[in-house]
Amino acid sequence: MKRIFIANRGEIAVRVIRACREMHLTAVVGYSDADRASLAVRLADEAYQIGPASSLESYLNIPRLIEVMQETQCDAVHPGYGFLAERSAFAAACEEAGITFIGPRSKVIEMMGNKIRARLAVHASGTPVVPGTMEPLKDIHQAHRFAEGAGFPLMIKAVAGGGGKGMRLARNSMELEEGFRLAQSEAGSAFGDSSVYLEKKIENPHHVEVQILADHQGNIIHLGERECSIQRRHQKVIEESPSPFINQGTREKMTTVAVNAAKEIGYTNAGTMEFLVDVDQNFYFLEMNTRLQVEHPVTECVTGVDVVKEQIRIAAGQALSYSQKDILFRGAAIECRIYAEDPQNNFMPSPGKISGLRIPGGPGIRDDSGIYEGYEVSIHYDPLLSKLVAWGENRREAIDRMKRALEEYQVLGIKTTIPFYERVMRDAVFLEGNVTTSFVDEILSHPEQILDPPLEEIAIVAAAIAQFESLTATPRAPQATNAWRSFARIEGLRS
Amino acid sequence: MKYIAILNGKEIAVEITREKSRYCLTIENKSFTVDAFRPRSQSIAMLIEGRSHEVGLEKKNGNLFTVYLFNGTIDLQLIDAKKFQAAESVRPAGASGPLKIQAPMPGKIVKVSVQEKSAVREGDSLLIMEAMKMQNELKAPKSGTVSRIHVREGEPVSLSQTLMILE
Repeated sequence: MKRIFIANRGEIAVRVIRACREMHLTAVVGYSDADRASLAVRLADEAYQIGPASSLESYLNIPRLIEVMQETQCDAVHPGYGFLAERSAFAAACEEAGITFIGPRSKVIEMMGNKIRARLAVHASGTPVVPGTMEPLKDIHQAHRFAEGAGFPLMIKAVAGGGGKGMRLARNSMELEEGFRLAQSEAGSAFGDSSVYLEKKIENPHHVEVQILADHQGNIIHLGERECSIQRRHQKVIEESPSPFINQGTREKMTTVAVNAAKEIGYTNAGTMEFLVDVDQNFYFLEMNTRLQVEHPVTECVTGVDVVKEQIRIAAGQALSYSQKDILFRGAAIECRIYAEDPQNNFMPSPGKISGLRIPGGPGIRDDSGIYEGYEVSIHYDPLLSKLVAWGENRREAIDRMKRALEEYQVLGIKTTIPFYERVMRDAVFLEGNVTTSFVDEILSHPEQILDPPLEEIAIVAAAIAQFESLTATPRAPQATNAWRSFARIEGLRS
Repeated sequence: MKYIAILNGKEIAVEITREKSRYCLTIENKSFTVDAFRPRSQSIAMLIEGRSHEVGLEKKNGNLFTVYLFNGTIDLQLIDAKKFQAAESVRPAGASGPLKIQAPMPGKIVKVSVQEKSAVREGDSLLIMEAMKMQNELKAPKSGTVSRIHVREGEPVSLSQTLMILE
């Protein structure tokens, strides 16, 4: 393996480029027209245009990607997350074209990508699953019939789902109808498959997941768990490791179940088993992600394992660099996903040009980002700008570092979710470490608690000074236009 | 210089003078001194009574500002006090009219749920917009009749573009 094609964009493309560089591999990026000036294109060894801005015609265009990979003689492809990362047809097309897909085999992706088949497969290995329909819903009548028996609340989920897309909560028949319609439409546009199914909603659960690594030699290890309960619109926004909620007994049971389930399905690559945990620490399998996850940096921070490099090694047929006993868990890490959304205006998307940027640094801080000053955040893609990760010897130190880093972080020109995370880092329930998946909704149901009122006085002072300056600015001396004068100045500098 | 700052509908009196590198400000009845410099055109670093604040600053249309603070963003307007008073004296009172439903973000219209001349109740779905891979439903802010629809399904729209008129 020498040349790796990165079939993705944004911060994850940058992350994979970094792993390639450290492994002395050539990083080749494919970019859409809208991403011509992206950070990934700037950092890659080579970059090739793959199509127009629309992801259907570029990042999701399998024949075009295969063509570019063959033309540029890439021997492997890293799909990142999202886009084609869990599309078995893509893995199969790569297998056929003789390009190594850095991920599991297409058959395994297919099985786990179909959330219903995954539930059945994992259930067969003895893992408890959330009760729900075991086949896709044919129509709304079938949904109503299931609701009559199971009762509300229910979750409507895309069979091909992921990332919270095509997912809706239904508390009653009316919401079921509206959610069914929206979930189908969203699933169709996000995954090209509009089928949905129903799951009983477990009230106020914790979302805890186990990161595993499995090679082709049959070695499977886990890298501990991540607590991902802080979600908005069913999409994780803050993740941490270890989970402050589960006890050691649950941790041991859950990691064992995850490794066993992966063994059962013949899994290879990095992967994640997601669970819902109730107040009594009972846990239920939710779904498996057969790819690198957005939140992998928190696991990297507490274990020291470079998950992306391990993925590449596994795909190249090498054995894992670690056995389970080599994995030592140290300290705590937290990640905040920085989105181009306006928390003061119901998290409305906020695309536009980043006119100023200051990225935080200092002890324990990592920022995986795909942006730079002058970068144009496009309406065509996800609003994720960067992932800010803080590590500390313990959870408290990680939180303090995160708080400090959020204050340093400055993104100008567009609105971001940074102020919202500021608020969360000071929240008593969060500090206690007992947040459930309803945490964000609870905060948002008290609008006055979403954000502290920004300091109006400071804003007025800043604007007044700027206005005063612009009116009283001393006119600049005209540039020297006389060639002799310029020449004399250059001569003066030389002597 | 005397200004009126308009912020969230509030009118706040501001006075500013400069003595060498320092500014003296009075906001309503509170006075303080500020030392400031611009590390780059889009931000301003200030020492307000010795306390350090660095904020982002964008200026649009001469007197509209967006200020980026660490815990949120503030939009404000800064009007010359004399011009403000002159404008106040000619402002018509109680002007109201049809309600423009504007695009809260740039994006694409996925679905228009109503038709022209149809009556809607507050909270009814008007249309669904997609931006950055998420679909957002725009609901009627008040009950009324949809008098004009300016967009069609599948059409891209820009920020603040008028989508429909509600009367």
